[in-house]
Amino acid sequence: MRGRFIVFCLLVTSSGMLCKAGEQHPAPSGQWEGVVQIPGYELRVVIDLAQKDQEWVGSLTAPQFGVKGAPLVGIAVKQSDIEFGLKGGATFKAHLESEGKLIGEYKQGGNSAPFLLKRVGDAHVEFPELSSPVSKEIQGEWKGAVQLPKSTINVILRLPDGGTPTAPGGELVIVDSGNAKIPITLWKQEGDHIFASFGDGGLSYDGEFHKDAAEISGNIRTGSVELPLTLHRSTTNTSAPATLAAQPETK
Amino acid sequence: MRSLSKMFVPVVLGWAVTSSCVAQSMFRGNPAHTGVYDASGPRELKGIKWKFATGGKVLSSPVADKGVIYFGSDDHNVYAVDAETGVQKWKYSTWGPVASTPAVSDNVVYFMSYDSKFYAVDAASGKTKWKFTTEGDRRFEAKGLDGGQPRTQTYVDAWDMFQSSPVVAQGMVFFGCGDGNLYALDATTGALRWKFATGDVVHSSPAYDSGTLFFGSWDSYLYAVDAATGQKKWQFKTGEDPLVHNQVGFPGSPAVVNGVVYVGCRDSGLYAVDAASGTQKWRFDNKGSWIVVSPAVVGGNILFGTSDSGLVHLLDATTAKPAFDLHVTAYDFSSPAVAGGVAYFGLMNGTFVAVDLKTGKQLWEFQTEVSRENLGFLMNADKTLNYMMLFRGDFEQNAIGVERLFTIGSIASSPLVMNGTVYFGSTDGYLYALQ
Repeated sequence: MRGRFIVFCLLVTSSGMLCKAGEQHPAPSGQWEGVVQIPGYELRVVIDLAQKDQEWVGSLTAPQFGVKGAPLVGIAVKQSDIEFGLKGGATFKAHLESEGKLIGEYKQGGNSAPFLLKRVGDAHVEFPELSSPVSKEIQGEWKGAVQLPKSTINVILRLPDGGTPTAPGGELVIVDSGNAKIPITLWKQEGDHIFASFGDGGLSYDGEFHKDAAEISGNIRTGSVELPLTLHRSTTNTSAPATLAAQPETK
Repeated sequence: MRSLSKMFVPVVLGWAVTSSCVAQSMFRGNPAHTGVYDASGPRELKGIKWKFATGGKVLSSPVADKGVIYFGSDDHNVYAVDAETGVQKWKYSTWGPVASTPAVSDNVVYFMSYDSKFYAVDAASGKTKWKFTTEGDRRFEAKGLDGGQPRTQTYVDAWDMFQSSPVVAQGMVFFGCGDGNLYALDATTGALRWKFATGDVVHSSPAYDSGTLFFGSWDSYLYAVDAATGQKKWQFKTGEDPLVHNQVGFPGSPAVVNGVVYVGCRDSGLYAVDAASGTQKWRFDNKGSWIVVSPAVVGGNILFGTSDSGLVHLLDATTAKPAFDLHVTAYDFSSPAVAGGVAYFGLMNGTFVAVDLKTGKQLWEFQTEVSRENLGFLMNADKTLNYMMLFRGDFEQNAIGVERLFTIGSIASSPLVMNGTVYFGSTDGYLYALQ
């Protein structure tokens, strides 16, 4: 009799726990895989979502687009509703179903398409690469010129102090394009080797710092085009030169 | 693969590994590229152990060193992934698709990217050790390729999907390139030791045996080059196709066993060539169908798949007498890996099969999710390729048709077998670990 009572108590307790659990909203943490049903095209995506320091973080992988680990922005979770986007304006709005499905609407360029994602495992969120500090000896302004077949493009690389891992600071000034300024979005420095990515990452510079010669020699790259660019320390720290009084040596 | 054309003669007396140097740290498992792994793979398929998503097609083949899997992706990255968990340890970004298979030696990962650079990266940290700039990788191309119209137009061959994979020996790293060269670089510094020029694209991966490198070029020759000096030892002529340039060249790599070089060719021949003299021992005629894969050499037999004929052959290595032919459902571009008497390989329809080499029977089949969905009816109901839906017109055959084929998760990557698990890449963007 006492045994039956204990079983009864356990059942009551566990059913209460189940009810309580049922009231909770399922968490969107995990790796989600599925398809955005763009008319005439199925866009396959993998979304990784997790919480880090009580903030939601996430990344998107889309093999058909050559995208691996693009950071999610504007992640908002309200009960079972979740919203996030990509740099450039694409957004995902979804409702989390209890059976491990994320169903919603994808919007991009004024168009919208339904999507369905299934939870396939734990999240493996990819975080954007962090910038290293700009060393003291390389801080400042550097000038150089990119030699094209029929013209020369003068550039200035500005490397200030005070950058952060997520906002390295600094910029590339394309002097011959109306002093167009392209911000440095990633700065990496390992010994004398430097790497800078500019703007959305379509332009980059890979070089070696030669302290004795006060120069950085390397290559500037956009797409499949790679051209040599040697930079020399600027003697005049102009903030936005209209013209280059003294042309830098490029060889 | 559903039907086997012939029943099988018991073929193998012993499944002894034929190379003394067996590892998983380079393409085809060892420098001689035998495709034989001193490991056990799954005889029964339990399921997916893990799968790892990349941002592009995975044509590169996985290799392993110290419990870490290394492979490239069309998303421009090379990945280091824990073999047990599938968790990424690092990724290394290049500026082009990586369709070559890395080689790992002395804690350095070597690979080629379509940005035309060859990289050496620290295996533990993923940091650059050095880079070498080639004269420029490219795919095979020809005027009027495959009958393309107009005939005077130059077409890129989209079927030339692999890059040459490096082999490390004698303190050097060797690899081929679309610029027509075979390169030898100092493995520590990346300095050029020598380069050997051929007449066309070299995407064949050099096999190394007893101080000699063996590789094919799209100029129709198989070459033997002294690894120390870069001096040619011999060259062996294969078929040409001046009309549509279809039946020429070496997309795959040789295997060298017991002084014989075995290599498949687009001229539909599987050749056995004496490694010392470069003279032909025999040629197996696959009757017009390409042999893209690198053959596996095991137990005195040669195992290789073919493209259009949909056949996988097992031949006697000495006589070329067929032991058996398997009918498979689609083109085979995935070089077979053999472990524990089982052959593993993928097919271009997104299926992956395990075949018992003693009985010739299929042990199991895996199919990628996109292949199961068969969007656009790119496959027939029996999983054979639906050519009408795949290749619509002459001009688009090469580029668009091949890309369309890739959407069903083609498996062209050569498997790695290790610790009861088989690893391979797919054009659906995943690296799979099956157990």
